Amino acid sequence: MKWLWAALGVLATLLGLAAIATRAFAGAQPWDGELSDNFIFAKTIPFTLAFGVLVGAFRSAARPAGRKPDGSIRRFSPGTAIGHWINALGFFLALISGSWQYLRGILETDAPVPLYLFYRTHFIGATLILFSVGNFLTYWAMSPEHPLAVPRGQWLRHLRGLAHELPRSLGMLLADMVGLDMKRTAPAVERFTYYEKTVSFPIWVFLIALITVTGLIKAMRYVYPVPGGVLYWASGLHVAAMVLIALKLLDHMRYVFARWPLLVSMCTSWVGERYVQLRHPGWYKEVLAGGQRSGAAPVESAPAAIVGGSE
Amino acid sequence: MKALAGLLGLIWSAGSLLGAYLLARNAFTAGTPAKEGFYSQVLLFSGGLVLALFALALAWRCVRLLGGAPQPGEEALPDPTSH
Repeated sequence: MKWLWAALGVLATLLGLAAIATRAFAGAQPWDGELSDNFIFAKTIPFTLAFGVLVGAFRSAARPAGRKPDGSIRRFSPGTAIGHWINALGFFLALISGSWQYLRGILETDAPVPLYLFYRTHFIGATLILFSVGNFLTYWAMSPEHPLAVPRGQWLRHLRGLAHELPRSLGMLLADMVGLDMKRTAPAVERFTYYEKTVSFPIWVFLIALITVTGLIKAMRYVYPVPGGVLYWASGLHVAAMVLIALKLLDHMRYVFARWPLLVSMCTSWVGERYVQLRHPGWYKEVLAGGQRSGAAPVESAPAAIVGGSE
Repeated sequence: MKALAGLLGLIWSAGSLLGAYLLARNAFTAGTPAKEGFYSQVLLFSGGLVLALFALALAWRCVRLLGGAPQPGEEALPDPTSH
């Protein structure tokens, strides 16, 4: 039955895209290349989001194996890893093309290539991001576990973990501000570091929500009369979100480059057992409690303080 | 693979530094911020400054990656073949 739904979803997406393409390339429209791209993008948004929802729903039903015979532990599902890189490609395209659209206004200059190509690239990037948003939100809503989220009532414990991961001066500053007892043993790191859970993930969620909502408002003006004031603020916030995403992306790359096995796990979905033992002992304990095989000798667990959190 | 990642990171970092320079420089020289006022100039300048700091932090990490220095997540990892 689920394959029938999948086939119907794919068919509806393809028919929608075909209908849009037929209109756009019929030669009957009076718009130039740039405006035509705008219309095509605006009209494909519902189909892109719906296709993302379809993929997310199917991903949530998959239950990939958690361990390999060599002891490697799955950190992400393959769908999550693929989705991450689709989203990354979307950001790459949208950020570069969007940066130029903004900078050309400041510099009052034009690139040697036509401007509509920048917009076209931007819309392709935005389409990939919108697909990822639909995919992720549905997967998240239908998934029984959310290891990246801080559980209810656990914020203080997580902030204590974060304070131990941060450089000492920053950690002490955070501890003073929130009133954390730094003499207590640092909580064991779980599947995700405390920096990832309390800083990185919430910031990404906020920024992606901001750039998506403001981008949708900007795109909607081609199919619905958006008031000028709303459009002005949406455009301003869209640019602000772009700059903040550029900053977060730099921080994200710095963070994962310093934790190579975690970057590898985002490509392969697996992380080595000994790395988990040493750097994510809380998670390792969970994995063992799940009755899964461990081929390596036990080693001393590392609390958050030596995980080298966010440096 | 680490060298490739480090190299790509350095290129991204250099692009970000260029963007940071353009933002900061045009906070004082371009007509647009002058027309839009003081706050726009402050935003452009501070945005450029923070972008440069983050880009330099990434560049430093990439240089370490290219140099083969042990990363914070790896330095205490025992040799998996030793037992």
